[in-house]
Amino acid sequence: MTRLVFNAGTLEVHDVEDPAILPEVARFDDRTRCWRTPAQAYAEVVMGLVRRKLAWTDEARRYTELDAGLAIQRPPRPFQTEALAAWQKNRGRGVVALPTGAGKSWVAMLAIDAIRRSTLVVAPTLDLVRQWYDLLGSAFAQPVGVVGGGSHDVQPLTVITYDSAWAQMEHLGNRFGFVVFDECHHLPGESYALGAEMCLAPYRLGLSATPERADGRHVELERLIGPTVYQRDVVELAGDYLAEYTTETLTVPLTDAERQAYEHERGIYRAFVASQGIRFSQQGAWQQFLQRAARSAEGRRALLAWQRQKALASAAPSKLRFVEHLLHRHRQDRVLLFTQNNNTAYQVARRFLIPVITHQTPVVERSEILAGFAEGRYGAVATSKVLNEGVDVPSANVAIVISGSGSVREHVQRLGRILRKQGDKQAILYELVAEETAETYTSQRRREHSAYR
Amino acid sequence: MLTADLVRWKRTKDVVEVRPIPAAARPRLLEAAEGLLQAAANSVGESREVFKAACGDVPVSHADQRVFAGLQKLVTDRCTFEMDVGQPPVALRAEVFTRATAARRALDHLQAFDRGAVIADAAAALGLEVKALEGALFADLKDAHLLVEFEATTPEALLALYEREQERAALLLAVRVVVDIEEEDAAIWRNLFRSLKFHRLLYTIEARDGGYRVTLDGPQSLFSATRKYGLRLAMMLEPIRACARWALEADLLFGKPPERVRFLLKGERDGGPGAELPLPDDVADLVQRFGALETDWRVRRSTRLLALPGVGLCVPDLVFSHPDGTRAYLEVLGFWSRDAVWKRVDLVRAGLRENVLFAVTERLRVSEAALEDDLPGQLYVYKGVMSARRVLDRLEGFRPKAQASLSDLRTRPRG
Repeated sequence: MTRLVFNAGTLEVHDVEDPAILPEVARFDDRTRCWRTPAQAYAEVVMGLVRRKLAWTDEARRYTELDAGLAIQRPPRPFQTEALAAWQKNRGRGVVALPTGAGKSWVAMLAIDAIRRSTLVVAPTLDLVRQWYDLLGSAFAQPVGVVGGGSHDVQPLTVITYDSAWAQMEHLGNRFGFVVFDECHHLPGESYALGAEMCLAPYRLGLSATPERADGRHVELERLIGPTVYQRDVVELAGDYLAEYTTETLTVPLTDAERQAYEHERGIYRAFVASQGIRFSQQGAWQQFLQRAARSAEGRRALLAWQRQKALASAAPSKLRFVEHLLHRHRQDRVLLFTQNNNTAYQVARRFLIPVITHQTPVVERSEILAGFAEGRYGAVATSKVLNEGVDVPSANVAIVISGSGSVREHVQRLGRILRKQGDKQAILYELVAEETAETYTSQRRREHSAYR
Repeated sequence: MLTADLVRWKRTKDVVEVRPIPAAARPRLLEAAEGLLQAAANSVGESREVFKAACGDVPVSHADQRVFAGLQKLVTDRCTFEMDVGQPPVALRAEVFTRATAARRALDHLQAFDRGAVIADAAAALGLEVKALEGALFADLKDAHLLVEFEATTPEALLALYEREQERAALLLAVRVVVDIEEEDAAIWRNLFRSLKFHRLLYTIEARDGGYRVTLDGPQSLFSATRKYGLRLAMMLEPIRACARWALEADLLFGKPPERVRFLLKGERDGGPGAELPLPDDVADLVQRFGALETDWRVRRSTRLLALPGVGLCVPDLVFSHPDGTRAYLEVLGFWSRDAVWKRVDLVRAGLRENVLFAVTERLRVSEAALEDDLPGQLYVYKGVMSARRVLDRLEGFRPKAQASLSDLRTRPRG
């Protein structure tokens, strides 16, 4: 009789009389004398056996049905019901794209309730892991496991980071019938994708505000999770389901001294780029610049100049003076400050004496800071990138983007942080741009999204 | 450990090598290594940031940047960093930031935020000097950690370590490793296979001229070239290096975008395959006692691996041969785990053809009856030390039965 075994993220199919029943991806493995597929093909293998009415023993699947469904009922919003229906219609595989703050997580809760299988939620950061942990625990009233950030506790409902999923899926890949990929635009890419392939879960749900990736690899989501089954835009939901918001771009002039230093460093950098014939309109130019820069003392000086002019533009003293002014104006509000890098985040924290969250912040302190922010003990929190995604700070109504990349995704996500509806909240996002610097262009690029028109 | 970006690569078409440190650069790099080691020694008691700055101050020619970065990594690996134990920074921050929020909220729209006053108030409340509070506020950040211990070495040793570690770091990019090994020592082989098992790698093994070819990768390798096993393959280099003579060819995913290239490496233990390692004491004693018996059986060190693809393998210590052509192997499992014994039992039941005696101490609480008499693999359970006489008795059992007892012969299972 055919026997299915899960081994290190793959599915071993022993004693197959007719290999034609196996999916195309199956290979005969000489090392172990059996057929092998990525664990992901489990559902397909089983369907092949069912179709031919063949008997098999299943030693692979180790997931269970959940004893109970949702412990709390909350009437879903119409678009949440629609999203769930669209996903179910596609046999429980697919991506749901909803703007941040619209309640993507609740769609996952409804899906878990509908499927009732052991479920693994994969999230990009420890903050999000913590948040899913709280949400699953309260929604299903049962113990929730956590893998990642030093924890290793596996339960029928478990939350894991993408990093740990990549590392641990060879042990955990057969223990869940349903996987939710939160912020699923992280999944495509050599390593994280492997995590999805090494898991045999037949049911898969991807959640994201912005599934598209600049590198075009979002097409892989279809193979790893399923097609986009439902999509709604931020402008479609603002007002009714999201807070009303305004965005303001503030151009901050540099002082003469700052301007001089900026132009000096930028001059060195540009001269080098020109001397090397590098054109930034071409693909791979940045890579080319880094390679050339590493080859000579002059090149290294150019790289340093690039870093300095960037630092000048992103954390110029005049910019920080303006932050002081905004903090003062919004001293009774809840303000999130975003910076491009950790150094600036710490600089801001030290200077304005406000808590800061980066990847280096201990978990307990993160919780303390977010709780303090929610309660009002803290009026502002500084962060670089870790709060870009998903983390729930419903009370925040002001965002100050001190510096950032040209990424549209990052900017949409930062805006999303202040959009969670709470009463009649009016949200405002400030974007500080150093006048007549490369930032002006960066700012234009990141605002190329309907949310900013 | 080095990372792949700190390796000096040399690429010729689809083959990459790691380059040793060029002779001309050696004096310069010895000086730089000396500088780095000095920087670490002088930074004991200082922060990581200070240590990094001290490393940055060591003069280095731009041609040596990569080796220098590698040396710096190896020196940093020899440092132990710890957080300064004082007031817990998390609690200090909570105090200061809570006060700052309150102070800011209390301002009217014409008043300005007074950072100095907030810090001074907080310091007074915490019983600290202002300067001490400023210093301790973020003392838990990685760059603020103190270098508490540094394991010194010489510049020469550091350069040698870099060259050796380069080879291992190259394997971080490996998707598959094929290695030809000449080795006659069972313990070295066993260590190699134990490491393979520990790192959960899969292998195939085939006999080659004078040795074996072992191909290493992981289950997933069948479907995609993945560097997921790179670290584990790199960790295999040490047990491979322990072999008498070896030559490996690794497939690396190299560069951006990753291209498949070959990486070649070979080596020899001191003395090469000719220089045999001594047998373990218990095995050597058995050989000596066996030699004293009056028997036609001859014993020597085994150089074979007995493998059954898809099931497993065993590495016999000795091979016994009789003039009638009978040959039997002995693998001493001694005090290993019961699990190891059951693996051998499975191996025999799955059709291992050779005559093998597995010697196990009674402390493992297994019965010789676990393998029936008519199977080619047998268990020999001993108490204390192995008895040459008992081994001989068991070897006799492997010889074709005398004509008289032909009727006793039962059919053996198909191999």
